[in-house]
Amino acid sequence: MHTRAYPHHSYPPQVESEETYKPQRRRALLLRRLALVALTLIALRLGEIQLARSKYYLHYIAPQVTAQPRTAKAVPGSILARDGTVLAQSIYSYTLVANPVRMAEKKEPVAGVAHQLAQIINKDETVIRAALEARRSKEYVVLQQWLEADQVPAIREADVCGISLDSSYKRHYPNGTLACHLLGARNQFHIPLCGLEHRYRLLLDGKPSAVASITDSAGSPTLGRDDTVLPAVAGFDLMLTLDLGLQRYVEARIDALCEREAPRSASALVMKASTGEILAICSRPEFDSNMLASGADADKAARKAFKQEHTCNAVVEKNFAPGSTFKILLAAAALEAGIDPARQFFCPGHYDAGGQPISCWGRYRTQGHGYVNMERMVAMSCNIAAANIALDLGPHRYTAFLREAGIGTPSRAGFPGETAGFLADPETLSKRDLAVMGFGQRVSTSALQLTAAVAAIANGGVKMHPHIIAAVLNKDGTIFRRPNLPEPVPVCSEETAKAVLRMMEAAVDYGTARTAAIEGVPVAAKTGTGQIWNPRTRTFYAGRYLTSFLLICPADNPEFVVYVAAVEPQVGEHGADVAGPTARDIASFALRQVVNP
Amino acid sequence: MATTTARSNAPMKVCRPLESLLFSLIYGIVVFGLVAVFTASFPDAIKPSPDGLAGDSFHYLRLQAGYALLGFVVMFGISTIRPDAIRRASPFILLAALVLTGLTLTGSSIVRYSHGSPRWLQLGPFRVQPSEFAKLALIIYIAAKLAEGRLNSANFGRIGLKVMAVTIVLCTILLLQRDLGMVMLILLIVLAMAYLGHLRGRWLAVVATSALGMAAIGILSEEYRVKRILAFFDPLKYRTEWGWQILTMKTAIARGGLGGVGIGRCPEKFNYLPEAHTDAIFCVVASEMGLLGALALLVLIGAIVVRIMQIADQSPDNAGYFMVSGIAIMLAAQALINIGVATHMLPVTGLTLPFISYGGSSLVTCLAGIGVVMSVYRHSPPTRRR
Repeated sequence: MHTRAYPHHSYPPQVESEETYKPQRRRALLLRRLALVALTLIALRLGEIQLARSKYYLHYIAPQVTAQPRTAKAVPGSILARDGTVLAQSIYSYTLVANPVRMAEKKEPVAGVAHQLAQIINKDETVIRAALEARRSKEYVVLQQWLEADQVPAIREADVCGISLDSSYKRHYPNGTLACHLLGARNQFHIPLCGLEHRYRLLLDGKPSAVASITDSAGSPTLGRDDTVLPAVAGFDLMLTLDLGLQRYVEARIDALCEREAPRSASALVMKASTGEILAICSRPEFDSNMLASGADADKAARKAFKQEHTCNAVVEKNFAPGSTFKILLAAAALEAGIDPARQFFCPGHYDAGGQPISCWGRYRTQGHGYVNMERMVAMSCNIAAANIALDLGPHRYTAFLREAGIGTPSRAGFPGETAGFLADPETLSKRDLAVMGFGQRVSTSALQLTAAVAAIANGGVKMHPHIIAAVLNKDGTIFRRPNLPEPVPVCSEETAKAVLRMMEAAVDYGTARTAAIEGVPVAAKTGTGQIWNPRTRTFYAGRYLTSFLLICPADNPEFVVYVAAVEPQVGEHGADVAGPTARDIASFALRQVVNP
Repeated sequence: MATTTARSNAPMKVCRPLESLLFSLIYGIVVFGLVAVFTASFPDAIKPSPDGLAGDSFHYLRLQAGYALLGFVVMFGISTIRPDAIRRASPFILLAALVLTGLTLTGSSIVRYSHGSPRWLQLGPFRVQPSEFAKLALIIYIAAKLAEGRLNSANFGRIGLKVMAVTIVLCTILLLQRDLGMVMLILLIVLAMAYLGHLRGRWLAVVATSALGMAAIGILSEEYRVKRILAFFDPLKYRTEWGWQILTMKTAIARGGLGGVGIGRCPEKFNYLPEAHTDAIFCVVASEMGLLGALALLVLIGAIVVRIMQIADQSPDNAGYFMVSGIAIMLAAQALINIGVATHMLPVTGLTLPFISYGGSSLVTCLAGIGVVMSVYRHSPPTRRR
């Protein structure tokens, strides 16, 4: 038998009288503690909202639930060529936007809306309908950009729920890709991305309007506002030194060069020797600024494929070993240091300066140039003679001259991202380093630095500061400011400059730069064929060259300095046959067409 | 004074004065509330009337000050009544309150609507919300019943059934008013009081579960309540409708930071924050006085509740104990729910913050409740300070 110790049913509860019944304090205490826990939780929550995450609520949530200050947009500035032609400008435009979520809420029939809009914006009804139906869950669908003036009131009159107009400035580049690396680009929200657009965004963008408010002594705004509206300030126009006709021609010639030689990249620069103004600047491959600014669906694939390196303005941002064109600066430095230009150096084709032997170029590697003076060194581009002159000059005098000429420091010509290049400390240079520096290795410059230094020699030894900005203009066309250019720097004496120009003329007469000859005009030029350094193997690539060409014309009264470079051309190999004809064409165009302002 | 002799033996003939600490706290919070009501209500008050007249920025402050005065008179009046008399009158008070609340459902000409729900009665110049009074009347009635014995099966017919019946009647009326927030508050108060009244754990669980079930049915029965719940979990997704209120409240609170933006300066109250001077008044306080001001308000409310519970402990009889405890529970629950909503810890409900929110019915009811507390205090024997 299985018995329980206690009966399973409960005893009848004891009936209490009101006097004997005393409620337990324990339960009241528990309730009090629960309330205390809830209070603590609330206090912690307040700390979270008001201290820890207040930025999130004020900067992310607040704009979505409360109105933001209304400001009038400022009229953005344009970028102009030196003759006032517009290179980049902003257009006030309307965009037709749909909110399919709201349309669904308000039960707007998609088909009817599409039909109505199609008549206004002259677009296929089925396209609009497809766009709306494909993005049913989106709140922002762009139906049409750049609405025409007469379409805007029609859309306002239609008054369809969920259809609205966005007004904004859109950047437009009337010349397409012309000078794209120089100008840079803006995106569809008018935000500057690169180039001069980005560098001068504060000048170009102006200021939106604002309302002045009265503040208390602690600086926080009081409830009352005075009604002073600070009006929007229009942006300034930027006038460049760029010559539109020359720029167009240069781009066409560089395109032809690219067609012919299929180089990895190519660039060109034309500078006015007497002022330092940059008349044309061009790099390839190019990009389409309008594609970035449009934000249109059609360009989506192109925008996705677009990479930032496409916007690199190679002329000022990239540095490279300049190669033989550097012999111009070597000759000037040597003459300035008093080395006799008639002194003869013997070139057997190679030279041992310690380490790997230095050799001359092409067939002269084996047969040598024989006895070479300074003129023939420039004209025939003899590496051995250049190495000997550099060794005679010594590291200190040579690097001091180069530094004076602007090698090793950014040009500060007004571009964003200018490279400083590389100029070694003379104390660290070995004999071989100094020898190869004679013909432009173990030194690195941008095309702009090199051209500006050579322009100094063309300008009688006085280096004019290179610059791209001609003036900053008010909206009415009056000049607001001119660039505050540094004083011209004397680099070498006028005699030295003239002598070096003669050596460069000799290169055109009987030397390596014969392709640069222009009939009836004396031309001074120098070729360059630099090897390309492979940083991974720490050697030069075999068979990859940077071909360049520097040209000064007319040689008797220099006006233009033209620099053309092509990296890794597939057909030619030397500066003379790859870049030379292009530089000559550009120079002759400049002589014929560019009218001095 | 006569009471100084034979303190413990003689039955009290002269009652004690008002409890000074509680009175000071109540006075303080009501004044705090007047400041809060003014700063939160003036953007609404200065709006021009339909006939083009400029609004009076002191409109709500003036009314609320009047209600506070009335409330203090009511409080003092009730405090002179003996708790025993209140207890005996409790069924009649509750009946009157239920009738008044039920009147809102008759559709008579004195009924006024809030967002389409019949919640108000126009009695002469006053617009009253009878559910506020019914809430207090229910607490007093339940307290009177609980005083008779513990809530167990033996007392079921005598106590439990009656408590259940009146609760269900009131909740039904309120559900017909579509005032789910008030129903949840009343269920919470009744549950807590039943717990104090020794309801066994399993029955407590049954009651709590059925209350939650009722809440779930109530929520699912109305589309806007479902949306409110959805918006509670993802306010950003529903920011154009129900989530908007939550986000605005949090933005206002966040703006306060540590020290607040200064009284009068919360920008959200200008037509962004719905019900800025009633349900969402805590947001305005937290925004303008910052974390420090908000915590000060929490401490003030906490001190009031604690002091009321101490008075409950001093009560000589069960009826006083349950009445005073019930009022403490009411104030605490209502404050916690209101602030919980404001800080996005609970879904949006339309409950006022006791003593602070604008509203005559709410303020007078709270002060009448304090009157009951004072009555219990004044008629309980003095305790010796240790």
